[in-house]
Amino acid sequence: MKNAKRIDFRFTIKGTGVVNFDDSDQKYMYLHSNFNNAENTSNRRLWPGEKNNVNYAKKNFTIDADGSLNFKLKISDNCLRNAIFEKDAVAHHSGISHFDKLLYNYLGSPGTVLRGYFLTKGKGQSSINRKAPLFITYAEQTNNAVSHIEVHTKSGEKDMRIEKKDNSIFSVETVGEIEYAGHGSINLQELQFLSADQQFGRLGFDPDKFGLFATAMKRYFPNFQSELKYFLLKTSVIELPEQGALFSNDEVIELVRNFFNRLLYLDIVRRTGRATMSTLEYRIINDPIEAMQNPNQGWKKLTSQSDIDNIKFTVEPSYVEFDKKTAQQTINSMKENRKLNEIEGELMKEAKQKARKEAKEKARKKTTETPVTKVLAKKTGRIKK
Amino acid sequence: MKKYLVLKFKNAGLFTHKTTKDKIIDGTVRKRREDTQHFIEPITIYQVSNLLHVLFGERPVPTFKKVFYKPDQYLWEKAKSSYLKIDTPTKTLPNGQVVFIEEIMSTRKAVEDSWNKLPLIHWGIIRNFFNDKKDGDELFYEFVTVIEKALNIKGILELPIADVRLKILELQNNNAGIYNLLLKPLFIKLEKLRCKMLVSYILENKTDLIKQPSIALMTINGITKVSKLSGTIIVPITDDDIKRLSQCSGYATFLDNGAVSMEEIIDSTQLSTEDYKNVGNISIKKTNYLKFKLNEN
Repeated sequence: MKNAKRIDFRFTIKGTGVVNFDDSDQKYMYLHSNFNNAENTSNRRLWPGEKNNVNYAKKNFTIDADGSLNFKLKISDNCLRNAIFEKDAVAHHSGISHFDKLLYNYLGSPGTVLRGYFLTKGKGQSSINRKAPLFITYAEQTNNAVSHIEVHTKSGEKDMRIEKKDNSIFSVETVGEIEYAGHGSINLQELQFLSADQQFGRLGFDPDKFGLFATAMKRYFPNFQSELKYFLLKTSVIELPEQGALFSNDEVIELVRNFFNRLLYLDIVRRTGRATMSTLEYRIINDPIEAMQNPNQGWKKLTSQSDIDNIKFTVEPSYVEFDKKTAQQTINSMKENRKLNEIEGELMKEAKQKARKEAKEKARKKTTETPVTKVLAKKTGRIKK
Repeated sequence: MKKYLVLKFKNAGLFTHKTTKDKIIDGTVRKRREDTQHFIEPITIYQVSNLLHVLFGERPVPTFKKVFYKPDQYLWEKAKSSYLKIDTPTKTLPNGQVVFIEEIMSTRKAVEDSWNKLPLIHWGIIRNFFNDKKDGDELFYEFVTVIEKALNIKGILELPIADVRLKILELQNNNAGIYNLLLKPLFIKLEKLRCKMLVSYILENKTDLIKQPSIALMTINGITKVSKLSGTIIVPITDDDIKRLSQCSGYATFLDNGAVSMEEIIDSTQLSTEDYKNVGNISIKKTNYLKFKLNEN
């Protein structure tokens, strides 16, 4: 029987107004002559001349067959991700890397395990990172809502010293009732493993501080009993063990439920706009080729907490435990080989530099030596230019 | 009959670097982004090869970092004979340069580059600064008392530290006698007790003291521009490859957080490579900072 390798999900969002804004450089899209088809005036309404104080909504642009520009409003994946993990936002501060207890409380939380992270310390200290096992796309407009530019005014002091004076009039793109759709995946292979090894460039935490990490995890998973061991990636030909810890099947299911709980109750609120989750579905992928050939099969709706609590599956174990003694022997012999290679590399470098120097010296002697200077050089040991 | 796997990617983030003071953290090494090498082409055989490595359950191979393992030759050749098409529209800048469209995104700054450049220093920060030192409380008390004596003011804690700093500088210029008698020995003592950053703040208005862990005033968010690419990759596959793919998750990311989905398997009669580039023929020329100049051809 095949086990779960991935969980796909798709969702629709309903909203009012724009919740995700872009840079005013977007105006260049509407200025280019190739994109301004004379018959197509859809993008003309979004060009307020040469002004820079325009807030445009984020969009996905496409070019139609007749060469005219078309677009749909979107909520970017970054905006969605920030909204999904907004409860953990206070902890997303790079300063926590200075305090071990704060840091490991942060690393050992479901939100961090799902979202991934990249934290650096000062000079000479390793950075720690975890690639997000979660992927989510932008949510693109699906209905026929039409956006337009509105003019607003603001109060404030003008700075007369600056040559280029901003006036108190600015423009904002706005829209009425709007619907979006998006999708994503949770990679269970990435989700189940926590790396504590630098050699594959994914040092997730300091292995010496695994105790702190485990203490933090036990707040969310009281039965967390994973230990630091060595593992091999089953599907890879690189038979080099990687140190890390594995989540149990139940813990992986809890993490997935944690994510869907956040997604189901998604609510993006802005001063002039709002977007909330409307429908959410998921399906468990045991065979990606079969899933590709049957894209509409196996979807289940999530409408409430009880639906989320009913999510159950058996994770495909992607990592195989490697004997600790053999692992350390393998790693030590690899390090020795690397050292030997480095020494060999250094010796070759030195030999090349020596050869280059000698060739240079030879070439210099040829140009400066004459029969007279040769005799003088012999007598005095010096060569005159 | 030959088979091909059609992969669709979207939302693949590409950062176009202009001149920047940004730094790259590679393990423990920091280097200027301006000095690092980048490909001129947005997608090359290296990115496609790594995508295939992940889809086939192998470890991806960093392109610019030194690692002990090399790409799987079988997958590398497969990437070489793949086809690529990028659908993302382009825009023309006022200087005539054609680039992919960009959008704004928020980013998190690395620790070393996120120190607050205009911090507000107040007495709470000074007190926190002393908390980290041995006998910090007594040292803070001595610091306050000596300054009060020198300036002949009581209750300087009720004045903004910025004002107190200016009064100290006035004293240094106008009444060197009292300054040398009372404040100079205090500052020398503080420097010996590893409080040089505090002295630098008072005398030179340098705000390095905010880098102390107990204070750590940072600007954690920044913004940057990113191009989000979408397109199609067609990869030649065999029946054994299909069996291998079904053992893996069928999931991979492309460039920065781009989604890759397996769309369908087609045979050679359905294959059309019009508007596609052969991945093996894409230039792998590098430059110091990334510029896109897309030709109309």
